Amino acid sequence: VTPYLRNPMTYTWAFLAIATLIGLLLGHDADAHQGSTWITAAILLIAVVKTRLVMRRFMEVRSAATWLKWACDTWLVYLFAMVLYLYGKNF
Amino acid sequence: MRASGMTGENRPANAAPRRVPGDGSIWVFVFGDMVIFSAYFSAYMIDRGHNRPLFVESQRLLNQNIGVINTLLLLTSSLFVALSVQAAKAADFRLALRFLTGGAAFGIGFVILKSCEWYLKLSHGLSLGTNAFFMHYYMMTGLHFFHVLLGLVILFVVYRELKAQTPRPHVLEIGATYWHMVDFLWILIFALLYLMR
Repeated sequence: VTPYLRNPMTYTWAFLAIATLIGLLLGHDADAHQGSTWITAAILLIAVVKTRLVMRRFMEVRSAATWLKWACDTWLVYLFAMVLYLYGKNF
Repeated sequence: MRASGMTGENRPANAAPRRVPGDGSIWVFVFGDMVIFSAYFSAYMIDRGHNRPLFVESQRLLNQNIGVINTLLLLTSSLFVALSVQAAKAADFRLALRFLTGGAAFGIGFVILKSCEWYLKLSHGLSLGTNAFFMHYYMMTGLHFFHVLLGLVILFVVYRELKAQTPRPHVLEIGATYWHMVDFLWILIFALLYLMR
């Protein structure tokens, strides 16, 4: 088991867990400030980076066909831009 | 759609074509879900924009700590499933089974905690009809919950493959790909529903 626990996937998981806790802290901060575009953008960016890591490392997109990498990244960029635009439009 | 290939980033000129994890059909399904959820996210953001104070006040009634624990449960579950695929590729089916069982156990933990969260909300009178935010909350988390349950069934199919010690590699990868999709959809739902203000 030990070699599997010391491999890059486990390090990825540790990064994802830490990023989750940072997101939580930012969420608390946003609450205290009655919402902030910058904090919300940071929360969204962390979520998008985490999603990309899950795709690339766990789903093995990192070593997959180029079209698959591009399709995943395009969706993530679209999602980030769309949510941020709709958030900013009505802030 | 499937083809064998290397898994590293540095590829020699005569390398085999890059592969698609699982097979093409699971990715059609994954991208279909990505489109459906992104449409739902945009509908949520539009409704949120129409009544921001209500959404912010309602969001405060959600328990962020439960949301974080659920996120960590799914992330850990995803790690175990990914390690299970690695172990299976190394023909260590016994270890792959143990990792897969661990992954499913964390997934079941998510199901239990999410059910408790819904129960607590409903017992406080916060239901689907309370307001627009809770309508989105139950619809979004409910749709995701259905995906988790389907994912657990798929993991059970993978478990049987491994138990027989003659797993078809693409079946393992299809199951894992679906399960990881369930994980990343939750990451996004958690940010939208629980964290952003």
